[in-house]
Amino acid sequence: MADLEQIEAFSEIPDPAERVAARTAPAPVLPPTPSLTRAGRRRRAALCAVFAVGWIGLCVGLWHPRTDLTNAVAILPMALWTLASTVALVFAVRPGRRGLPVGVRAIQLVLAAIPVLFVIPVLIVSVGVPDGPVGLRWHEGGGCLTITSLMGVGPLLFASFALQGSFSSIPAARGAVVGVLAGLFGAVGIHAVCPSQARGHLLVAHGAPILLLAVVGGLFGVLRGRP
Amino acid sequence: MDESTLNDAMDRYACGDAQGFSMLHRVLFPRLLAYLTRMSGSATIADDLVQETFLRMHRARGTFAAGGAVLPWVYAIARNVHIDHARARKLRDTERLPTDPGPEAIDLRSGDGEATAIAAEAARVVERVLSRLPSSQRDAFVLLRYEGLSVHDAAAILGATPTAVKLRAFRAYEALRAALQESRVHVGASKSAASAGEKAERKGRPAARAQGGVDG
Repeated sequence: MADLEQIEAFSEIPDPAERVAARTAPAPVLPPTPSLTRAGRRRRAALCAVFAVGWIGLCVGLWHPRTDLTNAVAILPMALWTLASTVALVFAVRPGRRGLPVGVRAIQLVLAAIPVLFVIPVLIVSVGVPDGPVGLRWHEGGGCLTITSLMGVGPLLFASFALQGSFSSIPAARGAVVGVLAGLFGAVGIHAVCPSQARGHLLVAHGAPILLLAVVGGLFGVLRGRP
Repeated sequence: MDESTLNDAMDRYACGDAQGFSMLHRVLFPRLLAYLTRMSGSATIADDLVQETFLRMHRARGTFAAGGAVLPWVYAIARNVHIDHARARKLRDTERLPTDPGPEAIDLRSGDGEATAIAAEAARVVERVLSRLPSSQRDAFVLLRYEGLSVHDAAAILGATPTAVKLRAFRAYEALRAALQESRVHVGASKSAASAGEKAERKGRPAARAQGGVDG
């Protein structure tokens, strides 16, 4: 394993671009294309956050909130998922050491933790509830899967717009984090609409979009996330 | 120019001060040119890639965190530019262009010429080996050895852990050192053959070729 002394030994390797490094810079020409300043980016991010929340609220209103929304079975998972996704989002996109994006271990932690934080409340609220058929037909779970995905796509699109050009390294993983968190927001939304407590239904119809949007988010990261 | 002054310039540029760009361009241009030359193997290609890097810097300036460090941020952008270029060109090792214009006629009997030839050969060996290394090893080694970045900064740029970066760089170093030692053996053999040829000339015998061994 390399230690500091061995790294210092790197200096014995000559530099093939030594002459190039001595060149002086030509006169700078500021690119004519407009670009957002830091303040502009922050305004954009704030607007996107408002629109993302508004999208979830609109979807819940369209499909009508569940009648038992004030019960603990409904509120507690939603509260936990909302808190988890907000904390994870801030944790993942905040500047890390020296102002650079957070490291790969932090990203891996979020990607591993979010599915677990989704499953635990599902297992709790489904205790003692008989399981039903789970399938892609609308009444068997396909409907909830579609609506959850739709709810999650809104925050994913807004987040993608706000964060484009921000992923200077591991863009696929960072994009997947955005997708996972958008999926979790979608799960919050569908839980406000769907009163089912069956484990299979919750895990597949409400949870599968989290994985699906993680893949979509990863694609966004690769295509639009890098500066 | 110290790093804090450069970071302040980038902060101002991120907030909309165009004058910050001039300072950044003056300081970063030669560094980025050298970095992209090492990565691409061609100073001509590197020129274009540097311009693209500054364009992306301009577009992404709003993402620069307040109080952050500009050097690793810029190197991350430059690396992405190179990745995109390599993918677009579908570069293979055999397509890498030499950074130097080509071998010049050098008088091997001259001490300066010999040193220059040895140095040029070493640079070619390094460039050839670098181009054949896995990109992860090449990236890590170039950032640590030539760009002078810390292991943590290199890890942030590459999206890896510091331990992984050190390991990759060390593997690249071992490959380069082995190649350089082998080239020194060849150069020594060539010098011995050249000396044997000179001695034969002084004794009135037909001179052997300086390279490729002695003819029968």
